[in-house]
Amino acid sequence: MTHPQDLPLREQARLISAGELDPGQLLDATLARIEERNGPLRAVVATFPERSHAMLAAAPPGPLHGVPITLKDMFSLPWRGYHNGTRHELGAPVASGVYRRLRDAGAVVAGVDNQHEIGMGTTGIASPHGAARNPWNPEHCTGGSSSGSAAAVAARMIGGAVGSDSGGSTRLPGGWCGVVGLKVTYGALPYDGYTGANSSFSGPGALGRDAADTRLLLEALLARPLPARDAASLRVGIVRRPYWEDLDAGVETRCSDALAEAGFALSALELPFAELGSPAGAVRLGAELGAAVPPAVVGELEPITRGLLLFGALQPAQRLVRADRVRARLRRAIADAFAKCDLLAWPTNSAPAPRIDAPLLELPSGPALPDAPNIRQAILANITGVPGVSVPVGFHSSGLPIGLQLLAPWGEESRLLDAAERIEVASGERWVKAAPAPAG
Amino acid sequence: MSDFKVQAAGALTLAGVPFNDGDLDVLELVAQVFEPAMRALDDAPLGELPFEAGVDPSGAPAAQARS
Repeated sequence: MTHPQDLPLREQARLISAGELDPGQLLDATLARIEERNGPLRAVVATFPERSHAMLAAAPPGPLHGVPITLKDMFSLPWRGYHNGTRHELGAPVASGVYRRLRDAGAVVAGVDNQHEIGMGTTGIASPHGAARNPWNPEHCTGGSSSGSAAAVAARMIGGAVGSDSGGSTRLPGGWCGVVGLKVTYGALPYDGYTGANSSFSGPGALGRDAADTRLLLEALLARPLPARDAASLRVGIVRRPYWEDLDAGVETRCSDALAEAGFALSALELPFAELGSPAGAVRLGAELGAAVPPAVVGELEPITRGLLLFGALQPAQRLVRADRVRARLRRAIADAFAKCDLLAWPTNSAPAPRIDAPLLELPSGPALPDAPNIRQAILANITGVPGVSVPVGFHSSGLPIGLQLLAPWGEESRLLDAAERIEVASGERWVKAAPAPAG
Repeated sequence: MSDFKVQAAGALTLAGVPFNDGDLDVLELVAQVFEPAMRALDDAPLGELPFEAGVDPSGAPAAQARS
Protein backbone atom coordinates (compact mmCIF):
# COMPACT_ATOMS: atom_id res chain seq x y z
CA MET A 1 0.00 0.00 0.00
CA THR A 2 1.28 3.47 -0.89
CA HIS A 3 2.29 5.62 2.06
CA PRO A 4 0.21 8.82 1.90
CA GLN A 5 3.36 10.94 1.98
CA ASP A 6 4.45 9.25 -1.23
CA LEU A 7 1.39 10.85 -2.82
CA PRO A 8 1.62 14.36 -4.24
CA LEU A 9 0.29 17.14 -2.05
CA ARG A 10 -2.59 17.75 -4.43
CA GLU A 11 -3.54 14.07 -4.36
CA GLN A 12 -3.58 14.12 -0.57
CA ALA A 13 -5.96 17.09 -0.74
CA ARG A 14 -8.13 15.47 -3.41
CA LEU A 15 -8.48 12.18 -1.56
CA ILE A 16 -9.42 13.93 1.66
CA SER A 17 -11.98 16.02 -0.17
CA ALA A 18 -13.42 12.89 -1.79
CA GLY A 19 -13.64 11.13 1.55
CA GLU A 20 -11.12 8.53 0.45
CA LEU A 21 -8.34 9.49 2.86
CA ASP A 22 -8.89 10.13 6.54
CA PRO A 23 -6.98 13.29 7.47
CA GLY A 24 -6.34 12.03 10.99
CA GLN A 25 -4.69 8.92 9.62
CA LEU A 26 -2.74 11.08 7.16
CA LEU A 27 -1.45 13.23 10.01
CA ASP A 28 -0.44 10.19 12.07
CA ALA A 29 1.26 8.61 9.06
CA THR A 30 3.07 11.88 8.36
CA LEU A 31 4.36 12.18 11.92
CA ALA A 32 5.46 8.54 11.78
CA ARG A 33 7.24 9.18 8.46
CA ILE A 34 9.05 12.16 9.98
CA GLU A 35 10.03 10.04 12.97
CA GLU A 36 11.25 7.29 10.67
CA ARG A 37 13.26 9.38 8.21
CA ASN A 38 14.31 12.51 10.03
CA GLY A 39 17.13 11.14 12.18
CA PRO A 40 19.92 11.09 9.60
CA LEU A 41 18.65 14.18 7.75
CA ARG A 42 17.82 16.61 10.58
CA ALA A 43 15.19 18.25 8.42
CA VAL A 44 12.51 18.75 11.06
CA VAL A 45 13.36 20.20 14.46
CA ALA A 46 9.99 20.17 16.20
CA THR A 47 6.72 18.32 16.02
CA PHE A 48 3.72 18.83 18.32
CA PRO A 49 1.19 16.07 17.67
CA GLU A 50 -1.41 17.37 20.11
CA ARG A 51 -1.33 20.86 18.57
CA SER A 52 -1.47 19.41 15.07
CA HIS A 53 -4.44 17.22 15.91
CA ALA A 54 -6.19 20.18 17.53
CA MET A 55 -5.57 22.21 14.40
CA LEU A 56 -7.02 19.40 12.32
CA ALA A 57 -10.09 19.18 14.53
CA ALA A 58 -10.77 22.87 13.94
CA ALA A 59 -9.74 22.91 10.27
CA PRO A 60 -12.24 24.69 8.02
CA PRO A 61 -13.05 23.51 4.53
CA GLY A 62 -10.46 24.79 2.10
CA PRO A 63 -8.03 23.83 -0.63
CA LEU A 64 -5.65 22.21 1.85
CA HIS A 65 -8.24 20.82 4.24
CA GLY A 66 -6.54 18.26 6.47
CA VAL A 67 -3.24 18.36 4.58
CA PRO A 68 -0.06 18.45 6.70
CA ILE A 69 2.52 21.16 5.99
CA THR A 70 5.79 22.06 7.72
CA LEU A 71 7.24 25.55 8.15
CA LYS A 72 10.67 27.05 8.38
CA ASP A 73 11.60 28.27 11.87
CA MET A 74 11.06 31.89 10.80
CA PHE A 75 7.28 31.88 11.28
CA SER A 76 5.58 32.06 14.64
CA LEU A 77 2.81 29.69 15.61
CA PRO A 78 0.27 30.34 18.37
CA TRP A 79 2.08 27.81 20.54
CA ARG A 80 5.68 28.43 19.42
CA GLY A 81 7.45 31.65 18.50
CA TYR A 82 10.03 31.53 15.75
CA HIS A 83 13.58 30.57 16.74
CA ASN A 84 15.23 31.59 13.43
CA GLY A 85 17.76 28.78 13.62
CA THR A 86 18.83 29.49 17.21
CA ARG A 87 18.16 27.82 20.55
CA HIS A 88 15.95 30.73 21.62
CA GLU A 89 12.36 31.66 21.02
CA LEU A 90 13.09 35.01 19.41
CA GLY A 91 9.55 35.76 18.31
CA ALA A 92 6.42 35.76 20.43
CA PRO A 93 4.12 32.77 20.07
CA VAL A 94 1.41 34.27 17.87
CA ALA A 95 -0.64 33.34 14.84
CA SER A 96 1.71 34.74 12.19
CA GLY A 97 0.30 35.86 8.88
CA VAL A 98 1.60 32.76 7.11
CA TYR A 99 0.15 30.52 9.82
CA ARG A 100 -3.23 32.23 9.41
CA ARG A 101 -3.21 31.71 5.65
CA LEU A 102 -2.46 28.00 6.11
CA ARG A 103 -5.03 27.62 8.89
CA ASP A 104 -7.71 29.37 6.86
CA ALA A 105 -6.99 27.05 3.91
CA GLY A 106 -7.62 24.07 6.19
CA ALA A 107 -3.98 22.97 6.40
CA VAL A 108 -2.41 21.33 9.44
CA VAL A 109 1.02 22.43 10.68
CA ALA A 110 2.84 19.16 11.31
CA GLY A 111 6.26 20.48 12.26
CA VAL A 112 8.96 23.12 12.14
CA ASP A 113 11.90 22.70 9.80
CA ASN A 114 15.62 23.11 10.40
CA GLN A 115 17.27 26.15 8.84
CA HIS A 116 20.64 27.83 8.52
CA GLU A 117 21.39 29.85 11.64
CA ILE A 118 19.53 33.22 11.59
CA GLY A 119 19.14 32.73 7.85
CA MET A 120 22.68 34.00 7.34
CA GLY A 121 24.10 31.38 5.04
CA THR A 122 23.30 29.33 1.98
CA THR A 123 24.51 25.85 2.97
CA GLY A 124 22.32 24.72 5.86
CA ILE A 125 25.43 23.66 7.75
CA ALA A 126 25.28 26.13 10.63
CA SER A 127 22.44 25.16 12.94
CA PRO A 128 22.15 24.42 16.66
CA HIS A 129 20.34 21.25 15.62
CA GLY A 130 23.20 20.15 13.39
CA ALA A 131 23.47 20.52 9.64
CA ALA A 132 20.48 19.42 7.64
CA ARG A 133 21.57 16.69 5.22
CA ASN A 134 20.76 16.26 1.57
CA PRO A 135 18.38 13.32 1.02
CA TRP A 136 20.15 12.51 -2.26
CA ASN A 137 23.44 12.09 -0.41
CA PRO A 138 23.49 12.82 3.32
CA GLU A 139 27.18 13.64 3.18
CA HIS A 140 26.27 16.73 1.17
CA CYS A 141 24.66 20.08 1.98
CA THR A 142 21.00 20.78 1.48
CA GLY A 143 21.53 24.43 0.71
CA GLY A 144 19.88 27.14 2.72
CA SER A 145 18.74 28.83 4.55
CA SER A 146 15.47 26.86 4.15
CA SER A 147 17.54 23.71 4.52
CA GLY A 148 15.16 21.47 6.42
CA SER A 149 12.13 22.52 4.37
CA ALA A 150 13.76 21.42 1.11
CA ALA A 151 15.14 18.23 2.66
CA ALA A 152 11.79 17.29 4.21
CA VAL A 153 9.98 17.66 0.90
CA ALA A 154 12.68 15.81 -1.04
CA ALA A 155 12.71 12.95 1.48
CA ARG A 156 8.93 12.69 1.30
CA MET A 157 8.41 13.44 4.93
CA ILE A 158 5.93 16.12 3.87
CA GLY A 159 4.20 17.06 0.64
CA GLY A 160 4.79 20.79 0.96
CA ALA A 161 6.73 23.19 3.15
CA VAL A 162 6.89 26.92 3.67
CA GLY A 163 10.32 28.50 3.50
CA SER A 164 11.66 32.00 3.32
CA ASP A 165 14.02 33.70 0.89
CA SER A 166 16.17 36.76 1.63
CA GLY A 167 19.09 35.84 -0.62
CA GLY A 168 17.98 32.71 -2.42
CA SER A 169 17.01 30.75 0.67
CA THR A 170 14.08 28.95 -0.93
CA ARG A 171 15.47 28.58 -4.45
CA LEU A 172 19.02 27.53 -3.54
CA PRO A 173 18.03 24.53 -1.35
CA GLY A 174 15.29 23.71 -3.85
CA GLY A 175 17.98 23.39 -6.50
CA TRP A 176 20.32 21.29 -4.40
CA CYS A 177 17.59 19.00 -3.04
CA GLY A 178 15.75 18.47 -6.33
CA VAL A 179 12.45 20.10 -5.40
CA VAL A 180 10.56 23.17 -6.59
CA GLY A 181 11.34 26.22 -4.45
CA LEU A 182 9.48 29.46 -5.12
CA LYS A 183 10.05 32.89 -3.59
CA VAL A 184 7.04 35.17 -3.72
CA THR A 185 7.01 38.83 -4.70
CA TYR A 186 8.13 41.13 -1.91
CA GLY A 187 5.15 41.99 0.29
CA ALA A 188 2.79 39.47 -1.30
CA LEU A 189 2.05 37.88 2.07
CA PRO A 190 1.46 39.28 5.53
CA TYR A 191 4.78 39.71 7.36
CA ASP A 192 3.56 39.73 10.96
CA GLY A 193 5.12 37.02 13.09
CA TYR A 194 7.79 36.46 10.43
CA THR A 195 11.49 37.28 10.74
CA GLY A 196 11.40 38.46 7.15
CA ALA A 197 9.74 41.62 8.41
CA ASN A 198 13.28 42.65 9.35
CA SER A 199 14.47 42.78 5.76
CA SER A 200 13.46 44.48 2.55
CA PHE A 201 14.93 41.45 0.76
CA SER A 202 12.73 38.76 2.32
CA GLY A 203 9.74 36.92 1.05
CA PRO A 204 8.16 33.66 2.16
CA GLY A 205 8.49 30.73 -0.19
CA ALA A 206 6.70 27.54 -1.09
CA LEU A 207 8.46 24.22 -1.60
CA GLY A 208 6.86 21.25 -3.30
CA ARG A 209 7.86 18.16 -5.23
CA ASP A 210 6.65 19.66 -8.49
CA ALA A 211 5.06 22.78 -9.88
CA ALA A 212 1.48 21.61 -9.42
CA ASP A 213 1.99 20.88 -5.72
CA THR A 214 3.77 24.18 -5.28
CA ARG A 215 0.89 25.95 -7.03
CA LEU A 216 -1.63 24.46 -4.62
CA LEU A 217 0.40 25.48 -1.58
CA LEU A 218 1.02 28.92 -3.02
CA GLU A 219 -2.67 29.46 -3.74
CA ALA A 220 -3.33 28.82 -0.07
CA LEU A 221 -0.57 31.20 1.01
CA LEU A 222 -1.59 33.97 -1.36
CA ALA A 223 -5.30 33.31 -0.74
CA ARG A 224 -6.08 33.61 -4.42
CA PRO A 225 -6.28 31.19 -7.33
CA LEU A 226 -3.33 30.87 -9.68
CA PRO A 227 -4.93 29.36 -12.77
CA ALA A 228 -2.52 27.41 -14.98
CA ARG A 229 -1.95 28.75 -18.47
CA ASP A 230 -0.16 27.45 -21.52
CA ALA A 231 3.47 28.52 -21.36
CA ALA A 232 4.34 27.64 -24.95
CA SER A 233 4.64 31.23 -26.10
CA LEU A 234 6.71 32.54 -23.22
CA ARG A 235 9.85 34.44 -24.16
CA VAL A 236 12.85 33.71 -21.96
CA GLY A 237 15.74 36.12 -21.57
CA ILE A 238 19.24 34.73 -21.09
CA VAL A 239 21.56 37.03 -19.16
CA ARG A 240 24.95 35.43 -19.74
CA ARG A 241 27.00 37.86 -17.69
CA PRO A 242 27.30 37.10 -14.82
CA TYR A 243 24.74 34.33 -14.35
CA TRP A 244 25.90 31.81 -16.95
CA GLU A 245 29.60 32.30 -16.20
CA ASP A 246 31.91 30.28 -13.95
CA LEU A 247 29.52 27.33 -13.76
CA ASP A 248 30.11 23.64 -13.31
CA ALA A 249 29.95 22.21 -16.83
CA GLY A 250 27.31 19.63 -15.97
CA VAL A 251 25.07 22.25 -14.41
CA GLU A 252 25.42 24.58 -17.38
CA THR A 253 24.67 21.85 -19.91
CA ARG A 254 21.65 20.49 -18.09
CA CYS A 255 20.09 23.92 -17.59
CA SER A 256 20.67 24.89 -21.24
CA ASP A 257 19.21 21.61 -22.41
CA ALA A 258 16.13 21.98 -20.21
CA LEU A 259 15.34 25.38 -21.69
CA ALA A 260 15.80 24.04 -25.22
CA GLU A 261 13.66 20.96 -24.52
CA ALA A 262 10.84 23.16 -23.23
CA GLY A 263 10.80 25.01 -26.53
CA PHE A 264 10.82 28.52 -25.13
CA ALA A 265 11.80 31.38 -27.40
CA LEU A 266 15.21 32.34 -26.05
CA SER A 267 16.94 35.67 -26.48
CA ALA A 268 20.19 37.07 -25.10
CA LEU A 269 19.83 40.09 -22.83
CA GLU A 270 22.19 42.38 -21.01
CA LEU A 271 21.35 43.48 -17.50
CA PRO A 272 23.31 46.61 -16.59
CA PHE A 273 24.83 46.58 -13.09
CA ALA A 274 24.05 42.88 -12.61
CA GLU A 275 27.62 42.17 -11.58
CA LEU A 276 27.27 44.61 -8.71
CA GLY A 277 24.21 42.81 -7.42
CA SER A 278 26.22 40.53 -5.16
CA PRO A 279 28.14 43.19 -3.24
CA ALA A 280 25.16 45.53 -3.16
CA GLY A 281 22.95 42.77 -1.85
CA ALA A 282 25.51 41.57 0.65
CA VAL A 283 25.95 45.06 2.12
CA ARG A 284 22.28 45.79 2.65
CA LEU A 285 21.20 42.27 3.54
CA GLY A 286 24.06 41.93 6.01
CA ALA A 287 23.01 45.16 7.67
CA GLU A 288 19.34 44.26 7.78
CA LEU A 289 19.83 40.74 9.11
CA GLY A 290 22.56 41.79 11.50
CA ALA A 291 20.49 44.57 13.01
CA ALA A 292 17.76 42.05 13.85
CA VAL A 293 19.93 39.66 15.88
CA PRO A 294 19.54 40.20 19.63
CA PRO A 295 22.97 40.88 21.18
CA ALA A 296 22.36 38.22 23.83
CA VAL A 297 22.21 35.56 21.12
CA VAL A 298 25.34 36.56 19.21
CA GLY A 299 27.71 34.86 21.63
CA GLU A 300 26.09 31.48 20.99
CA LEU A 301 26.24 31.61 17.21
CA GLU A 302 28.56 29.54 15.06
CA PRO A 303 31.94 31.17 14.30
CA ILE A 304 31.10 31.65 10.61
CA THR A 305 27.84 33.41 11.48
CA ARG A 306 29.67 35.66 13.91
CA GLY A 307 32.24 36.42 11.23
CA LEU A 308 29.52 37.40 8.77
CA LEU A 309 27.85 39.60 11.39
CA LEU A 310 31.14 41.34 12.15
CA PHE A 311 31.82 41.85 8.47
CA GLY A 312 28.41 43.48 8.18
CA ALA A 313 29.14 45.68 11.17
CA LEU A 314 32.32 46.95 9.53
CA GLN A 315 30.69 48.15 6.32
CA PRO A 316 30.98 51.91 5.85
CA ALA A 317 27.75 53.86 5.55
CA GLN A 318 28.82 55.28 2.18
CA ARG A 319 28.97 51.75 0.83
CA LEU A 320 25.38 51.18 1.88
CA VAL A 321 24.33 54.27 -0.03
CA ARG A 322 26.12 52.98 -3.12
CA ALA A 323 24.45 49.61 -2.64
CA ASP A 324 21.05 51.28 -2.60
CA ARG A 325 21.86 53.15 -5.80
CA VAL A 326 22.82 49.86 -7.44
CA ARG A 327 19.54 48.47 -6.21
CA ALA A 328 17.64 51.25 -7.92
CA ARG A 329 19.64 50.67 -11.11
CA LEU A 330 18.88 46.96 -11.01
CA ARG A 331 15.19 47.61 -10.48
CA ARG A 332 15.12 49.69 -13.62
CA ALA A 333 17.26 47.18 -15.50
CA ILE A 334 14.99 44.27 -14.69
CA ALA A 335 11.89 46.25 -15.63
CA ASP A 336 13.53 47.05 -18.97
CA ALA A 337 14.38 43.36 -19.41
CA PHE A 338 10.80 42.31 -18.76
CA ALA A 339 9.65 44.68 -21.47
CA LYS A 340 11.52 42.40 -23.88
CA CYS A 341 10.84 38.97 -22.39
CA ASP A 342 8.46 37.18 -20.03
CA LEU A 343 10.99 35.36 -17.88
CA LEU A 344 14.68 35.38 -17.09
CA ALA A 345 16.53 32.09 -16.69
CA TRP A 346 19.84 30.82 -15.37
CA PRO A 347 21.11 27.99 -13.16
CA THR A 348 19.93 28.12 -9.56
CA ASN A 349 23.30 27.03 -8.21
CA SER A 350 26.72 27.31 -9.84
CA ALA A 351 27.58 23.71 -8.96
CA PRO A 352 25.96 20.74 -7.22
CA ALA A 353 25.70 20.60 -3.44
CA PRO A 354 29.13 20.31 -1.81
CA ARG A 355 30.08 17.98 0.99
CA ILE A 356 29.21 19.13 4.50
CA ASP A 357 32.70 18.34 5.78
CA ALA A 358 34.38 20.19 2.89
CA PRO A 359 31.90 22.77 1.64
CA LEU A 360 33.67 23.98 -1.46
CA LEU A 361 32.22 24.38 -4.94
CA GLU A 362 34.46 23.22 -7.75
CA LEU A 363 34.16 25.99 -10.33
CA PRO A 364 36.19 26.82 -13.46
CA SER A 365 37.74 29.72 -11.51
CA GLY A 366 38.79 27.33 -8.73
CA PRO A 367 37.35 26.04 -5.46
CA ALA A 368 34.99 28.48 -3.78
CA LEU A 369 33.07 28.67 -0.53
CA PRO A 370 29.38 28.43 -1.50
CA ASP A 371 27.92 31.70 -0.20
CA ALA A 372 29.40 34.10 -2.75
CA PRO A 373 28.52 32.04 -5.86
CA ASN A 374 25.11 31.22 -4.43
CA ILE A 375 24.34 34.86 -3.66
CA ARG A 376 25.49 35.85 -7.12
CA GLN A 377 22.95 33.49 -8.68
CA ALA A 378 20.09 34.34 -6.34
CA ILE A 379 20.22 37.92 -5.11
CA LEU A 380 18.67 39.71 -8.08
CA ALA A 381 15.17 38.53 -7.16
CA ASN A 382 15.66 39.80 -3.61
CA ILE A 383 17.13 43.13 -4.61
CA THR A 384 14.32 43.83 -7.05
CA GLY A 385 11.52 42.09 -5.14
CA VAL A 386 10.40 39.96 -8.07
CA PRO A 387 9.34 36.31 -7.67
CA GLY A 388 11.65 33.46 -8.59
CA VAL A 389 11.55 29.70 -8.72
CA SER A 390 13.98 26.80 -8.92
CA VAL A 391 12.82 23.86 -11.02
CA PRO A 392 14.51 20.43 -10.97
CA VAL A 393 16.02 19.77 -14.40
CA GLY A 394 18.15 16.69 -13.88
CA PHE A 395 21.04 15.13 -12.05
CA HIS A 396 24.75 15.79 -12.07
CA SER A 397 27.23 12.99 -12.71
CA SER A 398 27.71 13.01 -8.92
CA GLY A 399 24.09 11.93 -8.55
CA LEU A 400 23.03 15.24 -7.03
CA PRO A 401 20.13 17.32 -8.36
CA ILE A 402 20.41 20.33 -10.64
CA GLY A 403 17.97 23.25 -10.59
CA LEU A 404 17.09 25.87 -13.17
CA GLN A 405 16.06 29.28 -11.89
CA LEU A 406 13.37 31.43 -13.46
CA LEU A 407 12.45 35.01 -12.53
CA ALA A 408 9.20 36.74 -13.50
CA PRO A 409 7.88 40.28 -13.18
CA TRP A 410 6.36 41.59 -9.97
CA GLY A 411 3.31 39.53 -8.98
CA GLU A 412 3.66 36.92 -11.72
CA GLU A 413 4.14 33.82 -9.57
CA SER A 414 1.66 31.93 -11.73
CA ARG A 415 3.78 32.52 -14.83
CA LEU A 416 6.74 30.92 -13.06
CA LEU A 417 4.70 27.84 -12.30
CA ASP A 418 3.33 27.68 -15.85
CA ALA A 419 6.89 27.63 -17.17
CA ALA A 420 8.01 25.15 -14.53
CA GLU A 421 5.21 22.77 -15.52
CA ARG A 422 6.21 23.05 -19.16
CA ILE A 423 9.79 22.16 -18.26
CA GLU A 424 8.56 19.21 -16.22
CA VAL A 425 6.37 17.93 -19.05
CA ALA A 426 9.20 18.33 -21.57
CA SER A 427 11.34 16.03 -19.43
CA GLY A 428 8.57 13.46 -19.04
CA GLU A 429 8.39 14.56 -15.39
CA ARG A 430 11.28 12.24 -14.63
CA TRP A 431 13.19 14.73 -12.49
CA VAL A 432 10.26 15.68 -10.26
CA LYS A 433 9.05 12.11 -9.90
CA ALA A 434 12.46 10.80 -8.86
CA ALA A 435 12.74 10.11 -5.13
CA PRO A 436 15.88 9.52 -3.08
CA ALA A 437 16.34 6.24 -1.25
CA PRO A 438 15.52 6.66 2.44
CA ALA A 439 18.67 7.58 4.36
CA GLY A 440 19.59 5.01 6.92
CA MET B 1 48.46 39.32 14.21
CA SER B 2 47.90 40.36 10.60
CA ASP B 3 47.44 43.99 9.61
CA PHE B 4 43.85 43.18 8.72
CA LYS B 5 43.11 41.83 12.17
CA VAL B 6 44.73 44.78 13.87
CA GLN B 7 42.70 47.21 11.79
CA ALA B 8 39.50 45.21 12.20
CA ALA B 9 39.98 44.99 15.95
CA GLY B 10 40.42 48.74 16.09
CA ALA B 11 37.34 49.40 14.00
CA LEU B 12 35.18 47.02 15.98
CA THR B 13 36.39 48.48 19.26
CA LEU B 14 35.65 51.97 18.01
CA ALA B 15 32.18 50.89 16.94
CA GLY B 16 31.52 49.17 20.27
CA VAL B 17 30.96 45.78 18.68
CA PRO B 18 32.01 42.91 20.98
CA PHE B 19 34.34 40.27 19.52
CA ASN B 20 37.01 37.77 20.48
CA ASP B 21 40.30 36.71 18.89
CA GLY B 22 38.70 33.72 17.21
CA ASP B 23 36.15 36.01 15.57
CA LEU B 24 38.96 37.90 13.89
CA ASP B 25 40.23 34.71 12.22
CA VAL B 26 36.82 34.06 10.69
CA LEU B 27 36.28 37.71 9.87
CA GLU B 28 39.52 37.71 7.88
CA LEU B 29 38.31 34.70 5.91
CA VAL B 30 34.93 36.34 5.24
CA ALA B 31 36.63 39.53 4.12
CA GLN B 32 38.88 37.60 1.73
CA VAL B 33 35.76 36.18 0.09
CA PHE B 34 33.64 39.32 -0.07
CA GLU B 35 35.95 42.31 0.00
CA PRO B 36 37.09 42.20 -3.67
CA ALA B 37 33.48 42.51 -4.80
CA MET B 38 32.95 45.30 -2.27
CA ARG B 39 35.85 47.21 -3.80
CA ALA B 40 34.18 46.87 -7.18
CA LEU B 41 31.04 48.38 -5.66
CA ASP B 42 33.11 51.25 -4.25
CA ASP B 43 34.75 51.99 -7.59
CA ALA B 44 31.90 51.52 -10.08
CA PRO B 45 30.47 54.61 -11.79
CA LEU B 46 26.80 54.64 -10.91
CA GLY B 47 25.69 57.89 -12.48
CA GLU B 48 23.02 60.17 -11.12
CA LEU B 49 19.89 58.74 -9.62
CA PRO B 50 17.09 60.08 -7.43
CA PHE B 51 17.99 59.09 -3.91
CA GLU B 52 14.42 58.02 -3.12
CA ALA B 53 14.52 55.36 -5.79
CA GLY B 54 17.61 53.91 -4.23
CA VAL B 55 16.17 53.39 -0.81
CA ASP B 56 12.62 52.42 -1.65
CA PRO B 57 12.39 48.95 -0.07
CA SER B 58 9.19 48.01 -1.82
CA GLY B 59 10.97 46.81 -4.93
CA ALA B 60 8.28 48.63 -6.87
CA PRO B 61 8.46 48.36 -10.64
CA ALA B 62 10.75 50.82 -12.34
CA ALA B 63 7.89 52.75 -13.86
CA GLN B 64 7.06 54.00 -10.39
CA ALA B 65 10.66 54.92 -9.70
CA ARG B 66 10.71 56.97 -12.87
CA SER B 67 7.49 58.87 -12.23
